[in-house]
Parts: sequence; structure tokens; C-alpha cells
Amino acid sequence: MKNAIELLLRFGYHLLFLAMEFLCFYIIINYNREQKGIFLHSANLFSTSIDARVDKVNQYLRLDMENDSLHKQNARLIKKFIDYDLNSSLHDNDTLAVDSSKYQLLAVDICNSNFRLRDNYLTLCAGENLGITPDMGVVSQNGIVGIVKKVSQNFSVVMSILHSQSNISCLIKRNNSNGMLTWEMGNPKIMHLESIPKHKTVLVGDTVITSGYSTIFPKGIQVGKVKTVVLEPGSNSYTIEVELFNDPTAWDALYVIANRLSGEQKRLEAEILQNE
Amino acid sequence: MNSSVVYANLWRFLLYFLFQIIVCRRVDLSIGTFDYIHLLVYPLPILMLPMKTPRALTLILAFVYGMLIDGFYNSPGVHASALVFTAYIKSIILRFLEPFEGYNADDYPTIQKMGLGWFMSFVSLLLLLHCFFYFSVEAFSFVYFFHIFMNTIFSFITSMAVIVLFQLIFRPKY
Repeated sequence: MKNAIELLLRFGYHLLFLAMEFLCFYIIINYNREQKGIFLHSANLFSTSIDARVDKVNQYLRLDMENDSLHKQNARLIKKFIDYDLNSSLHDNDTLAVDSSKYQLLAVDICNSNFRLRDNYLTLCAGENLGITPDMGVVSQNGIVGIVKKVSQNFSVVMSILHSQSNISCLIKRNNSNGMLTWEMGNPKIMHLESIPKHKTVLVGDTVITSGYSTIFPKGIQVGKVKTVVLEPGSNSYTIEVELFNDPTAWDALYVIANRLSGEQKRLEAEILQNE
Repeated sequence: MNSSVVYANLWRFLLYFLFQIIVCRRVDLSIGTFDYIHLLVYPLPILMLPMKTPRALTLILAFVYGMLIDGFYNSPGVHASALVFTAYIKSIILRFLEPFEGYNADDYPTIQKMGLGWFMSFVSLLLLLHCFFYFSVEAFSFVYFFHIFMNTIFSFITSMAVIVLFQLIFRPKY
């Protein structure tokens, strides 16, 4: 008690000052229209800015979920594009329902990836549990990524397009010339389009798309654009450098393409080979 | 305390109060759009209270006196808050300007007792702070910083001139 009184004596003057200023400001805010307006406005600004901050933090905490749902939504959209391409390429055929659900896209996350070696692989954080099987194609939003090679319960290993054995059938979109997309060691953004015969015309800037001649990738996925075209003397085909649309050094969201009818197609093709 | 000192201070309060609300409140010193001169001489009675006045009493006097001024300016609390602030700062400034040998028991903050230099620095420091605080509270937002700054500078200069003139004319002893 004695201490409290001493404290009051010591700081009473300052407390009195603070109390009086508080009283003054209370009076100012309550009895002056102009100051009251400014006070209310500022208080409002303050509270809204606090609200905005809290919202921001909340949004940040929800980002994971948001990302996931966007990833899935993207998968649906890309599937729609593929279906659209498929259907519009069958103009004469009025059986539009070639089955728009021939292809299914699964949104997957990436666990591990490499691009510095001669033979590069990447690992997806999804396997049999999501219905992934070997020989499915993997794409990103801007192009192709690789082909699933091996699958375990929860993971799958993808042979990247940056692999010495990678051979993907592609087209020059402008005139449907067919070639094989390969990678030679070096720049991971540059690939080579081989075996386009020299009687076709290829221009710098032409778009390269997947051909759909295998069961792996559907037709029409944009891969990249022609960067340089050279016709070596004595050669029968062009040497074409293709600049990829996507960046293999930084994969973002990936999608596995499941072809529902690939088994049927393969079986039929195998039968022919056997019969011959 | 000498009763003549009390009377002198009471008269000073009354006269400065009347001067402020009758003269200073009504004169319009704006030149065209240059509307930055406002005479604020009313803080002087608070500043010129004897040095040995209890600090709490100074605060209470400042509050009541400020509210009375506010009553005529129709701005409840604005002058009072500035004057309470000035009264609070006054004790700090007094300690800051204390002569080497300290204040005497019968010292009053007048030109006669403390000298013109001391008086000028004492009053100008406090009046400048008072003007700044007053115009800040009046604008109530530092968005109007230019407005506050100009008002403070020009009002301070003119008010200071009036106060010094009064001191030289009336030569108060206490």
C-alpha cells in the first residue's frame, strides 16, 4: 500500500496529464463534427486494414487447398481441349461420340526430378493408388513431360523427354509433316525433330504438336516451336531444333494422361503382327 | 505565497482571456488565400505562473482555462488539449533552461527576473510546441501536414511578437 502511494506521488503528475489529454480527446471526438469524422474514418481504415491482413494470412493458409483444386480444375480443362481437338479432327464423321472420355487426366504432384544427366527421370507422388500404369503420358500445362515407365503403390517413375531413348512422334502443325522428337545432351529447352523429309517445307516459328500416332499422347498437345531449320548437304531430312514451350528445369503442375482404350488398340495391333 | 502574486496572475488570466476572445478571435489576418496567421496569445498566463506553482495545479488550470477558450471558439477540447500539453511540457522546459545555480524561491518567469534572453527562449519554445500541437489537433490528421506546418510557423511568429510587445509595454513584476 505504501509503495502504491509512493508510486502515485511519483507518477501522479504524468498520470494526471495523460488522464486530462484522454479527457480532452474524448471531448474533441464527441463534440467536434470535423474531428469526429476524421476519427471515425481513420478508425474504420485501421480496422479494415487489420481485417485485410487477417484475410491475407487466412488466404495464405488456404493456399495449399486452393492449389490442389486449381490443379484438378486444370486437369479437367486440358482434357476438354484434348477432347475438342479429337472431335474437331473427325469432321466427316458424324459419330461425334467417339467417346469424349477416351482420355482421362489425373492431376499429380512431383516428388523428384532431374534434367542434368544424359538420361533423366522424374518421380511422381502417385502410383497405382491413383490408377497410373506404365506407358501413360505425362504432360504439363504447356507441353509434354515424359512417359510413365514403372509404377509402385504410391509412386511412379517417368522417363523424361530429356532421355536418350525418348522418341516422341510429333507433327508440324501447319502441314502435318511427321517427325520424331529426340533430345541431345545439352540445353534442356531445345529438342530435335528428326526424319522430316526434305520435300516438306518447314519454317522457323512453326508449331510442333504431338501426333497421336501412339497410345501415349493424344493428338494436338502443343510441344514447342521450330527454332532453326538446317538441311545438311547430302541428307534426306531436315535437322530441326525445337524450342519447348514448357521449361523442363522447373516443372509445375503435372497431369498423367490415361488412355482408356490403349489396351484394346495394343491388343489389336499385336494380333496383326502375330498373324503375319 | 504573496497575495499580490495571486492577484497579478488572476488579472493576467482574465486580461489575456478577454484579449484572446474579443480581439484575437475576431481579427482576420488572412491575405487573399494566405490564411495561415492566427493569434494565439492565451497560453501566456499558464507560462507565467510562478515557478513554485504545484505542477498538478498548472495542469488543472490549463485544462479549465483551455475549456473556457474553447467555449468561445466553439471547438470543445481542442485548445484545452493543446494547453494541457503545453503545461505538461513547461516543467520539462523549465528544468532544461534552469540556470547553473538553480531557481530562487521568489523567481518568476518574467523579463525583469530572468532576463530577455531566457524569457525569449522559454516562451518561444513552449509557444512553438503549443502552436504545433494545437494545429495538429485542429486538423486531426497528419495528412494535412503542410497546412499544420504553415499555420504553426506563421501563427507562432505573430503571436510571439504580440506577447513580447505586451511584456515590454506592461513590464510585469510577477
